Amino acid sequence: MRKFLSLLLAVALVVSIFSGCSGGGSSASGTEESGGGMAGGAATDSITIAIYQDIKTLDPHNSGMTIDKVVYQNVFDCLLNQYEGEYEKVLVDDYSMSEDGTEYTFNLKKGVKFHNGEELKASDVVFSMERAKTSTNLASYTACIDTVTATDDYTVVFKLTEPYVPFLMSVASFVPIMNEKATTESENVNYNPVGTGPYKFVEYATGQDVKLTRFDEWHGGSAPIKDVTFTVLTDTNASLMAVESGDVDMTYSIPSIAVSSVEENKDLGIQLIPTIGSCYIAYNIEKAPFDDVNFRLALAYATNRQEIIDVAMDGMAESTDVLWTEEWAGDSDVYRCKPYDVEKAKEYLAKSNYNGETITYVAGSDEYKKIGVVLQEQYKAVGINMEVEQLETNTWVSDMMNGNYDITFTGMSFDLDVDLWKNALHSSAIGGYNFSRLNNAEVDAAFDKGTAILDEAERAKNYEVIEKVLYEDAILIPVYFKVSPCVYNANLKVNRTYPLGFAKVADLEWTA
Amino acid sequence: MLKYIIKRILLLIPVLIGVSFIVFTIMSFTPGDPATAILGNGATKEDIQKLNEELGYYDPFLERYCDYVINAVQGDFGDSYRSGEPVFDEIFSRFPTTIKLAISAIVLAVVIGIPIGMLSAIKQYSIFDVVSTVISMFMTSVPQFWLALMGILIFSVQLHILPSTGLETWQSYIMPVFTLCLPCAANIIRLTRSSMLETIRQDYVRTARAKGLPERVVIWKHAFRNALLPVITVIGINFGYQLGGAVLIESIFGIPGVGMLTVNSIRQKDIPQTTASILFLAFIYVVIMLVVDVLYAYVDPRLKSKIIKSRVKVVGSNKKA
Repeated sequence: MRKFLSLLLAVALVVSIFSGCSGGGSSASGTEESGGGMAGGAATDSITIAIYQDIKTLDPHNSGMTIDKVVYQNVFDCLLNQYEGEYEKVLVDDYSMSEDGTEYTFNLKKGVKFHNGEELKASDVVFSMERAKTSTNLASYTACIDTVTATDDYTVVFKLTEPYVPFLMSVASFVPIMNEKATTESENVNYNPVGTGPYKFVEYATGQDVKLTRFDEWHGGSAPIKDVTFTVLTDTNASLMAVESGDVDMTYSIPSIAVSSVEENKDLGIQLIPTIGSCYIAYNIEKAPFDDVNFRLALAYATNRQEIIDVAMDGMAESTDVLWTEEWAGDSDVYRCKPYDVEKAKEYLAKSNYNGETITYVAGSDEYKKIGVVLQEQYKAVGINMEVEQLETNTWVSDMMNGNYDITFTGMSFDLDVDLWKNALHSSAIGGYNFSRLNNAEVDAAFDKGTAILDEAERAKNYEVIEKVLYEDAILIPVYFKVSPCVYNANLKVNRTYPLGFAKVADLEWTA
Repeated sequence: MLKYIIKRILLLIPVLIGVSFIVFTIMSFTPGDPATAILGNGATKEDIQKLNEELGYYDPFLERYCDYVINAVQGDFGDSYRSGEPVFDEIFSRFPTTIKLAISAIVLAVVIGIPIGMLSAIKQYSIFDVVSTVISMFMTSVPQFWLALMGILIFSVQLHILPSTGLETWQSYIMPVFTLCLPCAANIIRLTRSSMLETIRQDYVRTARAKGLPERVVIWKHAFRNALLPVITVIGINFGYQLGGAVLIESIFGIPGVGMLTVNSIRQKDIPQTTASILFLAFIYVVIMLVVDVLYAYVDPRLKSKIIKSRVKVVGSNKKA
């Protein structure tokens, strides 16, 4: 009898665990509507998109993570949308700039609805900008704003502290507009976003997925796909297989070695989206032998970019000899980093005061370690001895910030204006992201003046000096732009992609 | 026995203090700061400094640790740097998923492992024994992530019979549970076999057989119970491992478990979340080990009598005093 009772209790325990725990993860529910099932490639009114990590927050003013933006850019609109170098009017009928460049006036579209049914008013824009100004994540973007006022319900006037040319990029098309009432009244803005975008929030299950559904009153018409699920899949192999099996319709994360097999698979589509992620070889120019310009030029000439991309990146990157291209406002396109030339490398090395000592390359990830191994061979060929070490990511970043390193490989993603590169090249960023420890008065002056020059050609001319210093003195060596592999069900049509490396869901549609 | 359990529960306190101190120290003295991890490369030096100040990152280490312990005793383990939510909210939201998988995997491993291990021992050197030994050696050696990926390749991509991700239907549990269970089952098979082989060669088993007891009674009543002792330990350790260490499986199948939460919070330098997650896992692990010890006493009467004897001794010495 005792044994029977024990068995019965054990069974009851297991059953209760399973029934009690059904549903898993906590969920923050916005609306009560259901989010539609898994697409699996069959249901064409829904889509499941794999994301490579869990989101941090859906509060667009308090997020610094790309993955958050991949989700919230479908829920929120900005005043403008930057696409292929042009500014599209999203929430505005028109906008104008004062002659001196210190005042911008935006006339809002009438009848634009938020997901809670309220109409977009100038007060919402003022509220959003004021909120963004106090946010740690957006403060550097909104620092140019002196005052922002609503002159009537549909007119917003921004007064800037001084002329700031990147304003349209860093504020008007960067700061999402939130609903004042919903945001101030919400207990948890992180997971209760109310915007004017094509999709409204349904549900978030931590570590699992985010569900959105089409907002039928969207001012831009009606998005082609109704229900969206962003599901977290951190493993790249599993992510690819999930698309192959049809459990997921789209992913941005696959192993680089799988690109060719995906291209041959007729059931899948692939786009290698060029991103703003600019990757380069950095070294501490305060330290010997990197303080010698001849040694740095020898390194630049000895670097074979294509070999790095082919061997270490399986071809999944776009070679570059500049940090920013003509897509970036302010680009002068005059100077370029030195090309691969072994003879010249040897020539400059002979002129330098390098004595055959071993320099240390530090890597912060497996991918960068592979690059280090390729570089080790390339530099050995010209007579430079280099050893490769891998560090834990936080240690690596901290060492680079503090200048405790010789040479490394790193990447930066700054939006499409040269001015934003001051975070990595201005002397005030030494101790921050200025890993090369470049301290050049001409470069600093060009950054300081550049934001106030309204004439495009003159502005480009101003930034020319930065490019000259970077490439003629080989302060760093640009190698490639990251590409984001977008793999999707072949029946899906991707109409647009953005340099962040992602598509907006409203730009996707099923063709079959 | 009750006194023994209470004593073991009280021992949890120094264990948890020790674990919290070690985790806090490691997280505080490794390079990198939370603001850099949170804000990304768009942030300026001033932004990073401001956020670190807000998070109290620049306060002296001991001050931060003491504050942490004082608040923790009052039930406040802090908010996650990443989500801004209380740390245990996220742990508790993920724990059901983790425990469901771990229990399913361990139950399945026991159901598969013990009978096969026993049969292997009883029929030593038979075909069954050889095959089961080879398979269990293979399952022990093969990495779990490989099993998981092969499972997805065959059952999701090729055959389309099981989902490759999520935990929405009962079918979606099959692959993660089997992937977690198989290496553990293989361990149990090997250990049960060797333990049984050792036991059935003991004198008392020979005596039982000589008495003319049926083989069934000899195996079940005399050999099995004694052979089970080391197996229980392995089951306990595996269960503890599956609760916190199934990170690879969670990442491949897109399962939001406590293991993934811990790894992500370490990467993002989320000190409160990391400390709380590891404390929680340490707590669960110690509790599991306690249950294993109690089970030992239940299965092995010799241990039970030892515990009782030691209690009698203590009482006796008190009387003398």
